[in-house]
Amino acid sequence: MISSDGIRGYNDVIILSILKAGESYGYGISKAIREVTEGKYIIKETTLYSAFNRLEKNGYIESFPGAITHGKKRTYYRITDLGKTFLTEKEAEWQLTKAVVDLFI
Amino acid sequence: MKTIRDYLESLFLGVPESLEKDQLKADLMANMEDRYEELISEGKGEHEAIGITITEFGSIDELLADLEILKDGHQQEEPADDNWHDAISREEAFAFLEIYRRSAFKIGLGVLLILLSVSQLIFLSEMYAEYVGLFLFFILIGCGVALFIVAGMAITNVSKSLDDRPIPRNVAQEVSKIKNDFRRSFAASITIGVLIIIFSVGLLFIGEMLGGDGLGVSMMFFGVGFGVTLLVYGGMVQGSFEKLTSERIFVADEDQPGPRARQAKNLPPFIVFLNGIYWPIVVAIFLIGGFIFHAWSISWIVFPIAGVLYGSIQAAVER
Repeated sequence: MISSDGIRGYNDVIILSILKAGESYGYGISKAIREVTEGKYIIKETTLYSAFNRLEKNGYIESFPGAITHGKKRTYYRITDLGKTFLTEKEAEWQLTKAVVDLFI
Repeated sequence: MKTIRDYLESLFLGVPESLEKDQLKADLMANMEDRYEELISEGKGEHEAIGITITEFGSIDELLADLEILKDGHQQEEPADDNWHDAISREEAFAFLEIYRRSAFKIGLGVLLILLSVSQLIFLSEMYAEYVGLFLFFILIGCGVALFIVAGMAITNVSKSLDDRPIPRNVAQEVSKIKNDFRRSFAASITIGVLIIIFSVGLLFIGEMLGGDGLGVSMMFFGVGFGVTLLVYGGMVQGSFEKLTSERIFVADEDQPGPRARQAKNLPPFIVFLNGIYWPIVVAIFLIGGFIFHAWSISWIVFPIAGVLYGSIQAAVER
């Protein structure tokens, strides 16, 4: 299990990259994170929605009412063009960060 | 499941009601239910599943701060969707009120001139000067009608320019303030107008005692003219405030509300129909009473009766 402090700065990028693969909703995204990381990172639900609010305010994602699944009407999210541009920048930044940190650790 | 729902409810205690809050709560609940069911299907026990679900929920404080900001933002500005791109500005609203007020004055004056034209015609006929009376009658009627046309066109134009456009809340609030200031003037103009009209009926009898039927009717029309003018002016100015404060979408013509207004209001078709035919029928009764039954001195009473009746029908239907 990873500490939520360590990964805090990357939540937005993780969510955006999941949404880049296709629109999704709250539980779908937290499940994707859990499955991809094989349970090494479980995002708190409140952290997830706090990120949704932030990303939406910045115009990186947009929300829309989805179809009703299992009798529940959910809010869906999709990435915007602005969000894709932001994600590309952040990916490059991450490669650089990783390379620099790897030099020391 | 109930435990999870209660837990979530308890976290939102004291958060002011809002659409955002309801939506967020519903989304969070749906996610927690999904997680819980998944854990159960993985073979976890009920208590363990609830425990894990709640642990993975996190801290509500993270979200409430966002919700507050979201809420404040919405109070300051209207949602920026397509519906609001042409919202009525403060300046436009005040220009509308000013034009409406001036037109109300002109229409009130027009009504006064027309009633005075009848009054002086009857009076001068009594004095055996009916030709002068007839001459003045046409001049006064002409001026009155001209005032109606000018005022009517001004109102139509300004109303059309605002038709079916949304009224932002802050504009409606400012208009409400002016409306409040006007409230006492409105009450005074209606009260004094009604008193003058009642007093005019008294003039009818006084005139008859002094100089016969003609003088009585003449004096009554004279008095009624001033009373009606006050009613028209007060009522119209009040009406202009109502137009900007009672609905979120401006309606220029109540008979033909624009598409957005109809959607927002969902008017019962009966009322729309009634609005279209009611007043023409009332006017017809007034004219038939006057021309066919020669009951001018009493047939005007259909107007106050019709007004009260209209109010009660509308109240009954809208409830």
